[in-house]
Amino acid sequence: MKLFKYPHLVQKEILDNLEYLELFMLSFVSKNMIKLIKSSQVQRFNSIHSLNYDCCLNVRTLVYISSKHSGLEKLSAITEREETNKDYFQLNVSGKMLDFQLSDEYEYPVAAYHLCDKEIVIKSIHEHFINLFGDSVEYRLGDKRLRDSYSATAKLISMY
Amino acid sequence: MSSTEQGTSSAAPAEPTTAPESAAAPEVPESFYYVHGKDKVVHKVSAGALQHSALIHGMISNLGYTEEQAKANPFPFENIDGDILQMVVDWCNQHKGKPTPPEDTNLPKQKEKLFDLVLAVNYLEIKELLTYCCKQVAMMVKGKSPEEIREIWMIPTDAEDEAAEKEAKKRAGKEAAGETAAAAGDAK
Repeated sequence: MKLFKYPHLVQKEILDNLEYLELFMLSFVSKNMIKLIKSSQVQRFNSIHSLNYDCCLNVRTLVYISSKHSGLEKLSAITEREETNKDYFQLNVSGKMLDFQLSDEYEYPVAAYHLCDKEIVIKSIHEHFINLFGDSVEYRLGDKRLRDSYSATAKLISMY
Repeated sequence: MSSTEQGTSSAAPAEPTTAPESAAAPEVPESFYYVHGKDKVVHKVSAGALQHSALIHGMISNLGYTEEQAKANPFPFENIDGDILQMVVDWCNQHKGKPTPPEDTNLPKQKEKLFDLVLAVNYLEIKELLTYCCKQVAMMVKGKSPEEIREIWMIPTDAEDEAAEKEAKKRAGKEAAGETAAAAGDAK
């Protein structure tokens, strides 16, 4: 089944059935796929109010989208890497290879970092979001603890 | 050319079917049309079932065929495989005159069949069935990693896309050069 053999309207209809977190995973497949997502989801992406980084139980950063289209939707989580866990796969996120995990425990993809890379990881993911959803979306760091721990990223986010 | 009778019982293929919802209404003979795919097998389908297809419905409205003319001139869909057209015809018959349910679990599970069905349904402009099919195609990648998605939807990598683009440019260049040479030859 070759998705790119379908007419654009059919591709759009298929992508319309995916949630944000699935579009997020799809965006790592290829550059042409990012182009397709952006061109077919203009209306949906225009309905995004904000993309929010929030602290969850002080151990992970939860990223969710607030939109007219589907209210609040979890997009991803960013957390410290568990060395015992072998289920990671790597993705090139804005030029940096990051570890991700999909599990039954969470219904969204989880990006993992080593403590020394924490800020670089969130910066790379944030750049990917800007590339995917555009710079007209409001990016919010919802928690003071996050603002403190991601000082450089907070500056980056405040630029948008 | 073989023929299958769709939408009617095989015992009385030419007799109009009486839908339960029209039992109180005066009996109006239902008109039938004929379609065939790549395999040339002709399917007899009622006008009511064919209403799902905007393309065929438009063709019927424009042509104003009598039943005899319709039988003699089946609509040819040479770009659709016989088994796929059969699936489409079956779906149109099953959903004739009925509101379409929110889900359809009878779609093919095999990737290639579903792919061909989507192309056929898009061509025939059967909106509801296209919606179901697209939902099913989308379901295939839920909870999958990017590599798994690439495999399922056969999406080329960036390197493959770049190589294909280079190849296409090379081919276009060669064709343009060939055309220029041919034009120069004609001028002589």
